[in-house]
Amino acid sequence: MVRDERHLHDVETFWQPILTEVGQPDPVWKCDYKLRQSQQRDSYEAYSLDVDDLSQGLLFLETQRYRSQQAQRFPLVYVEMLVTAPWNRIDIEQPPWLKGVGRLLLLFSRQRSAELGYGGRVALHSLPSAEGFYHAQGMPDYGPDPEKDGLVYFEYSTFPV
Amino acid sequence: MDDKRLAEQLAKTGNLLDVTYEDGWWEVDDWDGPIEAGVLAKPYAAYLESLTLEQHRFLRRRMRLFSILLPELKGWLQSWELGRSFESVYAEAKRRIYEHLIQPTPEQTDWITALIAEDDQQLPMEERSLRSQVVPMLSSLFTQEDRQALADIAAQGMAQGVLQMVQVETPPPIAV
Repeated sequence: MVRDERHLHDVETFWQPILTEVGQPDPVWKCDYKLRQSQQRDSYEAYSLDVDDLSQGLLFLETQRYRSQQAQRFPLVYVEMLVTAPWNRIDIEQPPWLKGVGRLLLLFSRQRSAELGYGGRVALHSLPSAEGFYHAQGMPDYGPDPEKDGLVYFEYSTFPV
Repeated sequence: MDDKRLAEQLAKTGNLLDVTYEDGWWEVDDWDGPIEAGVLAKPYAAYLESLTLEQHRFLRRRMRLFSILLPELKGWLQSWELGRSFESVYAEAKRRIYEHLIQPTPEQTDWITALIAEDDQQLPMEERSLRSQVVPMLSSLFTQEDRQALADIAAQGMAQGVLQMVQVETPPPIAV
């Protein structure tokens, strides 16, 4: 897992041009924006899963602003965005080039939570098509969140002692 | 995720990612669908769904090509002993190689097809004859302008390093 300016170069050099090349401009500008933001604010962290020097998945975390939606409002790591490259999606590529990208990025977010003293607490809002993935990862489902376009909110609690 | 298992791993090594070295960790992942999360991922996912099969094939082919070229490019650049300039030179070199291959010539297209086919065979590295041609091919792609640009970036990096090193704070006076 890499955390430095290379993600920005990877997105600018690889993902964005090839996605633009196939016909539609500007598909990932928001990722780009987030990457730039991550270089300016300590609470944002951007990670790239690199294999053969290519980004195979991106993970953006916010580490200070969000709190658990449980009664005690513990701090947690919030997943601002988690995506895998198109060739790793089995709905697009059969077989996918890599499997397990999402699982690894999610595991890494829990590692960051542990390192920050949050005990493994991680939260995110899943896209509708990915809810099954987070259920499969044993991530508790707290239902649609009207403040996030109705996306379903998932939150891992702390690790058992 | 098995939180009990993860808690044990955390207590044992302090790094949850170590569980990925265990036999079977990767096989457990039988999810066959998308994994995207976050409001920011919505336009990306919608965009991917809008692409045709042919466009996805194109993306995959580009990825396969660059998954071969980039490690070779990186290894080649490492032999240049660029020190602190390495990352910036490598980033620029990647960008320029990418641009040169946006519209490959018919000869390059044939070579790329053969290179990917060779890689798909997963032969031992020493038996991949086309792979050994990658660095000469990359070298041939760089124009004089490219070389000058990379040299300029390398020089800037070195200059910045020297300037930072000579800005040492004044040491406290030595008591006598």
